[in-house]
Amino acid sequence: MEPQSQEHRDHEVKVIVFAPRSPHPKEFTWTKTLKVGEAAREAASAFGYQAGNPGLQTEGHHPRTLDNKKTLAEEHVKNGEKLELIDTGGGV
Amino acid sequence: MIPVEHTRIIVEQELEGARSWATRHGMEIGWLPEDLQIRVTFLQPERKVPYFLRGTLRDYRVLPPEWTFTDENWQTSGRPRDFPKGVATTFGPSIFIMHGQTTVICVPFNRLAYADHAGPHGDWGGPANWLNAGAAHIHADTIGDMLQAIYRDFSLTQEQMANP
Repeated sequence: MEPQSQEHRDHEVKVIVFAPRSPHPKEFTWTKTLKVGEAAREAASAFGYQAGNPGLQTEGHHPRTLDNKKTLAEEHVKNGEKLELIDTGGGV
Repeated sequence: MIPVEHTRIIVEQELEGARSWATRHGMEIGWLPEDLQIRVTFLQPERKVPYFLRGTLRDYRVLPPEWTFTDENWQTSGRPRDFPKGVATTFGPSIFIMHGQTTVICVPFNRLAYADHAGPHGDWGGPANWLNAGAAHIHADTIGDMLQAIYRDFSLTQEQMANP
């Protein structure tokens, strides 16, 4: 297999995703043009989620929910960033 | 309905992930296996006021847990003074509501949200249907996911449903 070119790598972002159901995170490499919602669905599937409305939020004291309709680049997701799976459904 | 030991095994398996989630968010999960009860103290991010979330897991996973906020002794539940005042979120209406004179965490994974447990929802097919109920609403089907879902809306609240 040929090594990936620098240009190819520049179009990708490697992140660490946590899920509340799992004690261990998983690593994902996504293209920066991937929509957040699509990335969340891929991660949710990898963690075994079969239903719901997956989304991603940043880590930290004041987590920020990423917009499922925007791309990872538009949401400024960086290499090595830690993200957490959430469900984006509403109440009542 | 479900042997208690069976429920304990399921809960303790799910607690592995839930405890990792809690640690990441600076919390600890209390687990009382004799009572099949989970206790977590949530701290409102801005005002640092503690809230006492209790989950009772009889017959889990045939039925969802009973999630409620209690007094600081983990006993009295349903009081507005112990319950966060819901605010609208980017996800839609808050999951924290008043139903009659009592408070309810209104989600399909809370047994107390169903009409046959004095909750508002007679339209979700009963608590045994919890894994398929309310498809348009917030979904969670493990202990960790439930805590995350409740904390998601809790972290946006600023005050109690009613003053002490």
